[in-house]
Amino acid sequence: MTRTHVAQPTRAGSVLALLAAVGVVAAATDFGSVAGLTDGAESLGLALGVELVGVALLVAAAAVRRRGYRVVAGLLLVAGVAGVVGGVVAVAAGAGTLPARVVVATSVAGVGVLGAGVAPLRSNRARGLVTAGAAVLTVAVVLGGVLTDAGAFSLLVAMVAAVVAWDAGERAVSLGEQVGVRARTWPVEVTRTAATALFGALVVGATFAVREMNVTNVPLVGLLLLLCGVVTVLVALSNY
Amino acid sequence: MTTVRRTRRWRGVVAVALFACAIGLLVQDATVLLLGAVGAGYAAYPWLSSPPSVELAVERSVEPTDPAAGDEVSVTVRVRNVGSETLSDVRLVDGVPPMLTVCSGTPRHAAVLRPGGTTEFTYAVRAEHGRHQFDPTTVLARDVTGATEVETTVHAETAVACAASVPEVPLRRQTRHGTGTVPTDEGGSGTEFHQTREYRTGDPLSRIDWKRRAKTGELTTVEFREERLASVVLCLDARAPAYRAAGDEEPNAVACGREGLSQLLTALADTRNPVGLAAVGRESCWLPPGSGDDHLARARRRVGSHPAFSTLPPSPETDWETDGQLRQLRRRLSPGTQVVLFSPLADEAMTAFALELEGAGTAVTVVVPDVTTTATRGGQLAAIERTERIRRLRSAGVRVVDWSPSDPLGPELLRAQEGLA
Repeated sequence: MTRTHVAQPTRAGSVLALLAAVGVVAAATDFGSVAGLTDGAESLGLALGVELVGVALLVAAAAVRRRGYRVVAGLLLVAGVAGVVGGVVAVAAGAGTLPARVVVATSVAGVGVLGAGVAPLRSNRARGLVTAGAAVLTVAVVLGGVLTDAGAFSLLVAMVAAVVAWDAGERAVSLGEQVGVRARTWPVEVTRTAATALFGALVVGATFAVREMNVTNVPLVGLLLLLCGVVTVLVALSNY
Repeated sequence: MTTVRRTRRWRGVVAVALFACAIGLLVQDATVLLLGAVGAGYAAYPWLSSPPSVELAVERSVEPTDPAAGDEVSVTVRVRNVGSETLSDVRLVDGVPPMLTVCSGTPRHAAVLRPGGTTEFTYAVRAEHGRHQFDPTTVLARDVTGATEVETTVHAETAVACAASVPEVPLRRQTRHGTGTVPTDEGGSGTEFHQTREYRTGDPLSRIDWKRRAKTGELTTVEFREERLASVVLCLDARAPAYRAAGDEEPNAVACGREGLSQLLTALADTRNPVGLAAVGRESCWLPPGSGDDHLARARRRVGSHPAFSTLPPSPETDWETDGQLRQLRRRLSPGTQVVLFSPLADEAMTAFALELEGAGTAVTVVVPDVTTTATRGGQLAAIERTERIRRLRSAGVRVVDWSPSDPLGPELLRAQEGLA
C-alpha cells in the first residue's frame, strides 16, 4: 500500500523559501557588486550553484532512502553535505577581502542550512533547521551592514527576503505536517508568501520615508528614551 | 466544535529587530540600526489580521454507489465557502471511514477560498464489506499571517455501502410480547415444530393432530414455536482500553466495533424488532430501543456524530471514569431486552460487565473484533488473554462472536448461533 499522507515539507513552499534565501545572498552583496569581492557575480554564482546542487543531492538522498536503498541514500547524503559545505568553503577561501568573504560565506551557509531543513531528511528537525537557516541569513545581512559598504536599500531588501524565506519554509513544514506533499498546496503557499513579501515592501517603503525625514539633532537623552520606547513596543508586540 | 489557537509563529521575529538594533548601536552604524525596522514591522504583522470566521459547506459524492468488496470507490469532495470572508489558507482532512483504506490520491487538501468560491478534490478508497459512514471533515483555517488557526469540523452525511452486509441477525431467545421473527421456547402458533401435548378445550381445530386421532383415538394438539419480537440494545465499548489496534496503519477495535454495529443496525432495521443504542467511553450515549424509519435515522446520526462513537484514540493520560457509565447502562436496560456488545475484551471490566448482565438474566451476545497481533510479545500475551476471556464468557452461556474484521460479519454471526465457532 502506498502511504497517502507523507509528512514532508511541501515542494512549492520549499522552492519559494530557497528562492528567497538566494535573494538574500544576492541583495546582501549588492548583487555581487559590493567592494572587496574581486570577481563579483561569477564566484558568487558558482558558490550558490554548488550550494544548491548540494541541497538537491540531499533531497535526492531522502527520496532514495524512502524507496529503501539505504547505501545509495547514504552516499548521496555524504555528497550532499559535501556540496553544502563545499559551497561555503569555495567562497570563504576565494578571492576578495576578508570582510566581503565573511559576509558571503555566512549567507551561503544560511542557504545551505535552510535547504537541509526543507530537504525531507528528518521531519522532526525540519522546523528547527529552517529557523536556524533564516537566523544565519539574518546574521549575514547584519554583518553585511557592519563589514561592507552595501547600500541601505539592498540590505533592507535582503532582510525582508530573509523573513520571507523563513515564512515560506516554516509554512512548507507546517503544511507538510497537516496536509502532506501529495496534496495540491501551491495556491495557498504562493498567496500567503506574496502577502508576506508585499507587507515587507510596505515596511521597506515606510522605513525609507522615515529615513528621508532626516531627523539629525536629537538630544542623547531623547534618543535613549526613544530606544527604550522601541524595546517596550517590541516586547508588547511579541506577546501575540 | 471549534477551537481557535494562536500559532505564535511570529514571536521570533522580534529577536531579529532587537539583534539588529543592538549591533547597530554597538558599532554605531545607522544602516544596521535601520535594519531593525524590518523586524519591528513583522512583529506588528500578526496584529493586523483577525481569526478567520470559517463557514464552509461540504458535499461528498461517491462513485460507484454500489461497489463490490475490493472495488475502488472514487470520492469527490466539494467544499464551498458560504461565509463572507476570503479564507487565504484552508486545510482540509476528509473523514475517511476508519475501516477503509485510501488507495489513490490523498484525502487532504489545501486551498484559498473567496466568498462563494469552491474547491474540489478526489481520492479513491478500497471498498470493504459493510456500510461505512464518513466522519466529519476536519478544517484548519489560518489567517493570512498564520498567527491564528481555527480548527473545526464540517459534517456531510455520506456512506459507502458495499453488498454482503449482515443478511440476518441471529438474536438470542429473549423476547417481548408481540409477534415477530425470533423463535421462542414457548409453544403456540408459528412455523417451527415445538411439541405435542394433550388436548385442552378451546384449542383451535386446525392444530389438533388428526392423524394421531385417526390412528389411536387420542386427542392431541401440535404446538409450534411462538415467534416474538426481541428488543435489542447494540452497545459499543469505546473506553480507553478498547482503542487497541494491531498496528499503526490498522483500524482500532472501536472503529471495527462501530462498523459491525452499524451493519447490525441496518440489518435489524429491516425487521420489526426495536433497536436501541448505547456506548461507553468519552461520554455515555443512550438511545432507548425503538423502531421505525425516524428512529433508525436518529440512530445512524448518533453513530456518525456522537462523541462517544469517535474512533480517534484518546491521549494516553485520559481517565474517563467509565464504571459509573456501565452501572447506569445496567439500570437502563429493561427486563426482556437483550444486548449485543461490541468489545475487544481488552480488559477485565467489560468481561465482568457481560457476565454480570448474563447472570442477571439479560441475554448477551459479545462481538469481539480481533485486533491482536502475534508480531510482538505483548501482542501474543494479549491474544492469550483474549482467548481466555472468550472461553470464560462461553462457559457462562454468553454467545461470543469471534470476528476477524477483514471478514464479513454475517457468516460469523450465523456460525456463532449454530455453536460452531
